[in-house]
Parts: sequence; structure tokens; C-alpha cells
Amino acid sequence: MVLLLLGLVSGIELGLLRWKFLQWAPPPVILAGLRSTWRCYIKSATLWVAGVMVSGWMVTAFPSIHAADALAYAGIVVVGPGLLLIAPIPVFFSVGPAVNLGKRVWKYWLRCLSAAFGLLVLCLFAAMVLFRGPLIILYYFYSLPYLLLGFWLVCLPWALLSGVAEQPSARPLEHTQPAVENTGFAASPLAPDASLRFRPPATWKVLLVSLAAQLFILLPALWTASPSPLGLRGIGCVSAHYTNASEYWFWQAYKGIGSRSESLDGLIFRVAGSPHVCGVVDRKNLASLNDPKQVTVGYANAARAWFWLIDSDEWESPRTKEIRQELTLLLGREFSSYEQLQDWWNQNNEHLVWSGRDEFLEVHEPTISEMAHRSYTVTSMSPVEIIRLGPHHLEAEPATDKLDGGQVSHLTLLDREERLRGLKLAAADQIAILSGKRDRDAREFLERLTGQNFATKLEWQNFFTGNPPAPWNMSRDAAQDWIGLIHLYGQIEPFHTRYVVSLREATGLNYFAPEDYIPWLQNPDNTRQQEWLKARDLVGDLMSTNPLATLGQAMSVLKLITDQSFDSPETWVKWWQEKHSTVSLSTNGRKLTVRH
Amino acid sequence: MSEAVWYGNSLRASYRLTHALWIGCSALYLLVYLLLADLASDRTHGLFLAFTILLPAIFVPLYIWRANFATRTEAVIRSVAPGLALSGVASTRPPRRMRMDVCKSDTSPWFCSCLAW
Repeated sequence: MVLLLLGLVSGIELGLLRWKFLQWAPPPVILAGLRSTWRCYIKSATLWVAGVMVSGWMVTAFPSIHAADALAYAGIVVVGPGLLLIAPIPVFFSVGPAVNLGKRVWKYWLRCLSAAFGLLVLCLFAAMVLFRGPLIILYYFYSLPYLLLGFWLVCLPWALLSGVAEQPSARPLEHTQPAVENTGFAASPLAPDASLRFRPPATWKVLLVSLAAQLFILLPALWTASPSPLGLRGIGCVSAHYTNASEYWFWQAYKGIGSRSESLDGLIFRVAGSPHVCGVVDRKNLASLNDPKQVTVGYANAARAWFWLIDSDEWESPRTKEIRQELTLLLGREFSSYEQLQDWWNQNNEHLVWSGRDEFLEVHEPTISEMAHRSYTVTSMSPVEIIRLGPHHLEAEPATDKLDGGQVSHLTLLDREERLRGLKLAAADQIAILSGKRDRDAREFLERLTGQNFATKLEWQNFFTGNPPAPWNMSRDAAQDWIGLIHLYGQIEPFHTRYVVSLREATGLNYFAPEDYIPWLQNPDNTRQQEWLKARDLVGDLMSTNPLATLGQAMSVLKLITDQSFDSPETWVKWWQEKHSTVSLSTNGRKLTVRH
Repeated sequence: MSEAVWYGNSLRASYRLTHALWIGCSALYLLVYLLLADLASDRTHGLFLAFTILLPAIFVPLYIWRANFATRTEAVIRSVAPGLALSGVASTRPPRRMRMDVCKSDTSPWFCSCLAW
């Protein structure tokens, strides 16, 4: 849009100056023959492309059509054929000077229609030769009127501009320059007093007009540089995502907030280091900006995102030390090893609550009421986890494009560091399948947990079918819910009776009072549903009866996320062992490449 | 210096001044674009877009200076047209959907790579 306005305003100004110059001095040589024809064609072709581009921009007024799409289609489908068929019309079928403006435009437009018809007939022949099916011809005739009408409409700006531009002036061109030797132009026979009527504009006036013209462009340019709903406050936001208050706090504790602009309509913030990525908290969500729950969720998400960015193999690297410092700020404690951090995280991440000061989260043991109503801190999957589970998501969107959906983590998918970490984890997962490690680990865990030793995947799947008995049927969270509910409502009817019935069924015990179940519920050995579920999921990791299919799938994922294309599992495993420490992210942010 | 020469020089100077201002403003927009745009993931396309900001500012005035017009209206229309024509260059790329569809078929790898660019 800026280019369009610049071309419009500066073109008018320069055209008028050139016109004044031509009035003062005519061109030295009248071009004729081939060169004149070529110039005539170039003028017409320029008008044609300009007309198509303006039509393309007008199409973008429809909200569902993106500017790039409209202009791309215009460029491919219309400009090329028009340069061959429309632009030569004034060269070969010039309309005489005696014709008035209306007739001139109409004649050009009518010839456009003939050219369009000729083009579509050519396309019909091409379709017949290429596809050789009657159905395509049927479709073609069905859509012919629409195609013809569309092309003809696009011709209108060209016919109009050509007609107006070629319309002879009512007053002939007057040359005002006296004969001079060193101007390089032919002399004009006019008297000096006539030249005074065509005084060139003063330089300061030209400067003033030019500056005014550029200023005229500046405002629309600033306006177009911001997504339309955001107004001037959103200048520079290449992508804007509506979000909630917790995401604001997430960015605050994660990569930092570069700038923020708050008004009654909402809050626009930019992520530090990426000023073109903007988050928008609307008025409704802005009301809850300082709600401690929102702060807790935001900071806990940030801690989770930092945690997943850490590479256990690079615990002492400078970048990991920086991440560890960020985690220390958030969690208020340091960890000597990755294993220690991992254990602590797995144990406490659901119980993190904002302390009320700085960006510090503290571990909060749930109260009876919180246990009864399951008010734990629920964090979202970090971008690294999302990429690890679905590396193909990165194929769909380049790193700079806007991602639809507006979820918390989607903004962070633009981050190259997270892309690299997520892809490395995804690649390591697939390598574990190819090397057989995943199968061995899963089998070992299953045998240790269940005491069973089945040979095939099917047997394991059958074992995990249906509801398991205690202690595999109750999770730690469910047990805490029960404890909270018993404390709050266990003495009140009808809850008392209902709880006893449900707890007898869940535990296999025959106590008569709900509070009698509390010791059983407090014992972690009785609430192992999580392990059961994990084991059931791990059955999926076992090698099936058709291992080639599993291996083939793993290799196809690796081909997708790396720049390699080996065809044997052994080669992949060897490549990863040798190169995993030297892989980096490709320029387009979608693949792992080996640094040389 | 005679009056006629002065007229000619003055018009030329005004033209050059306007040309320079166009280049200057385009350079400013280019600078803002480079500051705001994230070129890391698609550098080739990003630099191509950056180039298209300067392209009209350099070449359109040269084209206009060499053109001849019969009327003032023609001068305005034909001077504006090249700028408008080039304004579409920045966006004239095959939409992604079209690129993918074309490349899924039996198209030559060369054509696909051209479209991908």
C-alpha cells in the first residue's frame, strides 16, 4: 500500500515536472518506425500492469482475500496474457485523433473483449490437448461467461486510462524555450515574453510540495503498518494475537515485555526482542490483569517453558546457565543437576502459586477446600513439548507467519530456540524407536510394574483392557479430592451415604464412615492410577508384530525434520550418535541441519 | 547565464530534487521495514521485498525523464502507471496453496523450486 501511494504521489509530481520541461523544450528527435512502436507498446503495457495491480488491490477490500493472494493471482493469471494480447492493441489498432473520449475508451474496451475471447479459445484448445476429456470442456463452457466477464472487467481500467492518455489536447503543445546551444534540446521559435508565462516553479516550492506529498503518504503508511483493529497504537505489529491476562504475565516472566500501551480499549504489548509480534489483551480480559490467579498461571507457564528449554546434556553451557538463572528467579531455589531439577519439577509443578512479590512462585500445599474443588495450577504445554509431539506443525507455517488460534503457546512457536529444542527432542524420540531403546525401556517398565512377562504387544494390550483393580484405579489427585470432600461434607447427609457407597466401590474396603477411608487414601501405595495410565500408554511404544511399519514411520518423521534421507535404521542411529551435538536449526526454522 | 538556460537548469534541479526525495523517503521506509521485519526465517523473500521498496524510486523517475507526452493528462497517467505497476511486484508471488498443489503433481523440480522462491 505504501508503494502504491508513493508511486501515485511521486508519479504525479514528476509527471507534471516533466510536462513543464517538455513545454519548455520539445524532444530533439521524433521517433519513428520500430522504436516508436516499441515505445508505444511499453506505454500500453505499463498501463495494463498498473490497471491490473489497482484491480488487485481493490479486490483486497473483501475481508477474506489476502493482498498477497489477490495480487499473486492477478499477476499470474491476468498480467501475462494481457501483455501479449491487450498491451499491443494501441500499437496495431490505434484509434484516430478525431474520435471523442467516450468512443475511444469504448473501442479499446471492445477490443479487449475480442482479445479475451481469443485467449479463452486458446485456453480451451490447450485444455482439450492436455486433458482429453469431455468433462473438462463441459466445465469450461459452464465457466466461460464468468471468466470472460472477469477478464473484461479487469480491462476497464486499462481501456479508460489508455483512452484518456491518448486523448489529444484541445490546445496544442506550446514550446516556450528560446534557442540555446547547450541545453541539448531543439529551439523554440517563441518570443521571450511568451516564455515568461511558463516560469519554472521555484525550488523551495517544489521542495515544499514534495515534502507535503510524502507527508500525505506517511500517515496511511503508519496506518497500514498496524493491524486494522489496533489503530495507531499497533504500528509495527506484523502479527497481533488476542490473548488473556495470564499470557501477559507469561511473557513478562519468559522473554520479557519490550513495550506496552494501555488504554480503555485494552492493552497492546510487544515481546522483548520481537517488536513485530504483538499481544492484545482486550478490555474484558484487562479487568483481570492483576488477578493473582492470572499471574500464577502466567508465571507457572513461563517456568514450564524455561524448564523444557534446558538440555540435560548441556547443563553447564552458558545458555543453560542463563535459563537456570531465570528458573531460580521464578522458583526461588537453585538445582545442582538436571535430575534434581526434574524430580523437583515433577513433584511440585502443579502446586506452584505466585507469592505476591516479584516473579517468584512458591510451592503451596493445597488446603482442604482446594483439594475438594481441584483448584490446582493447570499449566499449558510448552512450545517445546508441542513441537516434540507434532514436529509436522512447523511444516505448515513459516517462522514469520501469523499463526491462527491465538493460544498462549502459539506465539512462542515463532521462537527459534524452542523450535531447535523441540525438534531435537522429537528426533531423539524417533532414534530411540529405531535403536530399540524405546521398546526395551517400555518392556522393562511394564514388567517391573505389573510383574507380568508377555511376549507380544497384543498380550500387553489385552492385559490393560478394562478397569484395573485397586490400587491402580485411583489417582493421587482423586484421593486428595476425596480427602477434601470428606472433611467438608463427610458428616452431612446425603453426602455421607453417597461417599461410603462410592468409596467402598473404589477401594474394595467395607468401612461404614467416610473418615475411616482417609488413612487408606493418604497412603501413596494405594493411589497408583498414574503409573497404570503411564504403563498403558507405554504399551504403544512396544514394537508391533509388523516392526517394519513402525521403523518406517519413525524414519519418515526423521526425514521430515532433518535434512537427511537415510533408508536404514542403523544409519540413522549412527548419524544421530555422531551428529546430535552439532545439529542446528535451518534458516527457515523447520528442520535440523548439521553445522559444518 | 541566459534566462533560457536558467529555466532548463531550474526544471532539471527541481526534477532531481523530487527524485532524491523519493529515494530518501523510500530509504526511510526500507530502514523501518528492516527494523520491524523478521528476516531470519525467510531471508531471500525478505530482502526481495526490501529491494522492491527502492526499485520504483530509482527507476520510475528515469523512465519518466525519458518519456514524451502530448498532454498534461497523459503526462500524469503515464507517470503514475509505472509506480503502480511496480507496487504489485512486492506481493506478486504464487500463494502458498497454489505452490503446494503444483508441487504435489508431477511438476519438474526446477519449476517447483522457482515457485517456492
